[in-house]
Amino acid sequence: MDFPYIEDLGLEEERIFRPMLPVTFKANGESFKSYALVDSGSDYTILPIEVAGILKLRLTTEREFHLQGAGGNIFRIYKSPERVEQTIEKRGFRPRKFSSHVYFAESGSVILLGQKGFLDHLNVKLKGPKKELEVSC
Amino acid sequence: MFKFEKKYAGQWIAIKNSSIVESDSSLKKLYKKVEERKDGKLLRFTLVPKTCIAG
Repeated sequence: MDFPYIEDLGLEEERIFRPMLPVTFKANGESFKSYALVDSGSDYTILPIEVAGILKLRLTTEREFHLQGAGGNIFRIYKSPERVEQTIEKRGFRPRKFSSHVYFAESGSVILLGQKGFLDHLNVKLKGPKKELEVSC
Repeated sequence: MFKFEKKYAGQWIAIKNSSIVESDSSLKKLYKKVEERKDGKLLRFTLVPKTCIAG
């Protein structure tokens, strides 16, 4: 399954392209359809804390951890109390589906699809010159 | 290819068929805005970054 990168403007207004995937997160009978950034530099999958509310996940301080961002900043995250189903779909292809724990951060940022819980379930190939991502099992 | 527009920087957007149908600075408020839509289940949500990302 190939997915085109998403285009944005860079620091000097130049065109830049991000490897993002259409991912549906499901838990407790609720779903959240999103475009999320493939981030091989992230150890975990991180979502904004508002999504935990949408998925009816109860976060507790017992599952609180701290991560270090690329700029050295430390931020708080909460582990999902249960596994969250993640599906990647494309018309004409069999959906890729798996479940894993994900983490929620208070700092509002794009959804990061990290190594543990996402990239360790799939083969993801960045086809930079074509501005495409290839996903397979 | 879908393109983030500068005017949406820092906003959550709801997307259907590569078109932005609604936006808000808060995901919660955006969800409220689109909950009555018949096509609500088809929408995808993402945050347009305020600036470039390093991670």
